[in-house]
Amino acid sequence: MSPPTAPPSERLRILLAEDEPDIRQYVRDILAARDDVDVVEAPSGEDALRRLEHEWFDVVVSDQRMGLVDGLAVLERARERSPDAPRVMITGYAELELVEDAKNRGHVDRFLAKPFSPDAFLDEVAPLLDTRRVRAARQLAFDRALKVP
Amino acid sequence: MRFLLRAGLVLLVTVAYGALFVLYYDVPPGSYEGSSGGAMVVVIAWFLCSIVSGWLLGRFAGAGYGLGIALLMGPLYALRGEDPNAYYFSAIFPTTIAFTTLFSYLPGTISDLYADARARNAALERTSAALGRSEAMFRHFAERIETGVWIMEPDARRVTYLNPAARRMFQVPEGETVGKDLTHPDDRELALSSYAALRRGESTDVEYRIHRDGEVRWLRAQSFPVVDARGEVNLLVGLIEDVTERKERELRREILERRERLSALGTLVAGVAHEVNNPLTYIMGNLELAQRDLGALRVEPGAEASLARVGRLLATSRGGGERIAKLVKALRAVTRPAGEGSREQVHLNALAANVHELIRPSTPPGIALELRLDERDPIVEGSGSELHQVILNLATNAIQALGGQRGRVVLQTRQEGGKASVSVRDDGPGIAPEAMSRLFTPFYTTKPEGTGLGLSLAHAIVRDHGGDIEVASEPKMGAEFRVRLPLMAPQAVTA
Repeated sequence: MSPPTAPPSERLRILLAEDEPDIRQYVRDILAARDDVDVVEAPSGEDALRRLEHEWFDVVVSDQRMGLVDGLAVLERARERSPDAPRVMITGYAELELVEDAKNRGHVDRFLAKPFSPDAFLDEVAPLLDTRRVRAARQLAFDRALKVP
Repeated sequence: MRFLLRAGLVLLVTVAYGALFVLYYDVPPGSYEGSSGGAMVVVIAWFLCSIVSGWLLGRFAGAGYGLGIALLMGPLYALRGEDPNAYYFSAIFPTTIAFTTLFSYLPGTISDLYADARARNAALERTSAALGRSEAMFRHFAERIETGVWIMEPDARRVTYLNPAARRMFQVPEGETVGKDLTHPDDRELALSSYAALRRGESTDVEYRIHRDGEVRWLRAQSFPVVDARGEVNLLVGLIEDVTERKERELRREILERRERLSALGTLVAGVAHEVNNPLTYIMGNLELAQRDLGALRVEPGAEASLARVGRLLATSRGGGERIAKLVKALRAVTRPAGEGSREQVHLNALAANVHELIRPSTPPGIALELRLDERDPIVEGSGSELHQVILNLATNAIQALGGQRGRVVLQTRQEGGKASVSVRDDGPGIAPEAMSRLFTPFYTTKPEGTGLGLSLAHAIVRDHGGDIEVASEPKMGAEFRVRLPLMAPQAVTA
């Protein structure tokens, strides 16, 4: 199956893999101020993997500690499916070795340690979103110029 | 029986002489030759009687009887002075008795003495051979076994025998029985009291340490008095075994069990910390978001006070949440499941700050808890969670040492030369001098419910990290424990 491609839109899509509903809601609230972002929630690692097969995401954010499929597995898969999408891992646990390892292997771009404040989240994620926005806009202009439907 | 024989003999001899005297007095004086043959018969009978009686008395009654009768005999003959021969008789017959007595007595006695001496000699030889065999057997055992053997005569006050194994244990040169006293200073009292008990006649069985070639060895000494048939102590004997390996095994097992317990506890606390962290994330975050929304809120006139109050409530709640967050962070550092021998960069400042954070909530209000950090941020290599355990243990001890009194506990990091250190100082009662030398001894504790393992475990961990723990204490002036560790080389430090 070919990797999903970016839809012709200026809106950005974030995949949020997190098994705790209240944290998902919290992240939504943090991003509520940004009207150019759609947060796609995955309540489990398995669900996140399924979505990664078919859907396009600009940024992938995943909690590390989830049920069967953990954050590292989700982000590894995300790297394969959408190599350009930056990956953020939320660690609730001081998993130093894991963090080092994941960083060295290039699976993860940013880390966010729990508990994180809204500003801490935005500090990590907003620059990624902005970069993606610029790229998406450029891509859109490029596509329009080439008349690609 | 022998008495009856003697009495009979003496009686017989007396009767015989009595008879002979009667016959002798019947013989007219001077008529021993010629016509009267009777007188000659008496003299011959007398002579024969002297020989026989002398021999019999000497042989069977004893020389004393024969000589006694001989002495009595002389004056009797002399009584008949009218007989010119009486004087000859008084000299000849007693002399005859005396000589026969001696001749019959002496050879018997000499041969008896000779036989007796031979018998004694043979017995001595047998005893000596048995002793020799016993000695050889003892040497055979004592010179070969790995157990140390010493023997002491109670009056000698020093060892009279040491087997080669004991010689090796105590480094006593060949040919000597006393070497340097290697007993560990902490165990001297034990060794002395055990020796005193031994001298009182009690058996003892103690385990103590010695210093040998720069290492500490554990010895098990069983000593007992050897009591003779009269119940008197005639030897003190000791058996000594090197039990260092067993002791070390026991200690390792104890420390391992302790670590396992801590590790199980760590896993539990880590799990709890994680579970607390998740809700804490959105509690804190939501409070912050709510505060922001509150700032943008416009309310009807008159409700401003309520709005301000909600703002205060939110701020207080966030403050509480932040305290929980700090505590969870500190707990995580302690309980991070570090693999055996895991090595990482440990920032001592962060570690000390973390311990400070962790014990602050439970520190009694009268105790000032201070944190002094070396601005060079000393870094060591090792297991953060294990070192954390050590400092936490020392800090907890310091607070307990103050025993609820007002006081001060200072956590301080330092960097000096190639060493980094974390010290914990209190101004409590200090450490009793007798406790000082045993601080790191496993199972030694001064606290009623203490396990006596905290400091020994701390010591083991610090030693594993190539460091040591220095203790300084003055009575009534408090105590300072300083954990010194090798500073990590700057080029090895990675960002």
